[in-house]
Amino acid sequence: MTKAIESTVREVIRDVLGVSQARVDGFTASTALFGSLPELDSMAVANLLTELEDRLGIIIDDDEVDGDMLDDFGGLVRFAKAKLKA
Amino acid sequence: MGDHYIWNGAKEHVLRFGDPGAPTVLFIQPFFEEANRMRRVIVSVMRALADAGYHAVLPDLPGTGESQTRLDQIGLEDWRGALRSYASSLPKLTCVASFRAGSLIDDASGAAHLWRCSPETGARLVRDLMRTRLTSAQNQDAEDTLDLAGNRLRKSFVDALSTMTPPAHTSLRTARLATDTADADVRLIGTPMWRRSEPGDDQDLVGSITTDLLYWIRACAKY
Repeated sequence: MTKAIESTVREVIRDVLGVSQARVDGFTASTALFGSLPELDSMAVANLLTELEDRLGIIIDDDEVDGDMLDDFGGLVRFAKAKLKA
Repeated sequence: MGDHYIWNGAKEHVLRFGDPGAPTVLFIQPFFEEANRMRRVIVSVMRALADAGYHAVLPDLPGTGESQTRLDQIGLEDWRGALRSYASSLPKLTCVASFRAGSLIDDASGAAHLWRCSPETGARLVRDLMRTRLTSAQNQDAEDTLDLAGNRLRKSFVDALSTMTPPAHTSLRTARLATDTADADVRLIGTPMWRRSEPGDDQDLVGSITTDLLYWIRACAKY
């Protein structure tokens, strides 16, 4: 399940931001996202969150959205896992 | 091919493919930014339908596309009214194909058969627009309008939108992507191009939409 969530997060980044499979496969927990990935502007953040909701069947509250969850790939995966456990 | 219709005294653009005398499929785009992202996909599907012998039409809603009407003066009733008026001018209207939030107003067309691609509730659409404010500097809102992801919209319009859900209908088929967890009659292959920051092409999505839409139009023709 853990691997499945991580793959889903990768797929969402690939599909929403239009980055290549090879590039997204190279993401590690410490790969920086918001502020570092040029494709990830404020519009893309909104789309990324909504698409994660659709694919994982979760609801993300706006006050859960902070720097930590978008800082790096590891943070986003941790956030998704925590949401699915809750 | 370009054409137009008149709504409220203004000329609104219509994109058309195929023989106007053929059974007609009216397309309704997603709202706001998603319309730009889906433009290529929708136009590719329209061309494929024209090749299959249908007349495919895509009207600009007032305040969108090439419209000279200001978006901040538009309400949902304008879009419903424009759609109703344009649809009634199509003698061979067979089916309406709507995408995303476009499904919120597809019943206004009066078409006997509806087909929906990943229909979206108004609440989710508005939330998506509001979310762009989480990580961006905000423009000052005027008293009766909101600036949402570059669209200046009347507050009354946003309020009305946020309560809407795609209406029930007696002859309706709903298609969603295989990756979507929500209910659907059929699953489409491809990526959610309506979320893609850079508009682009997705031949898998175009192919699976075209196949299912043609299946549905032909099935409806038997009733």
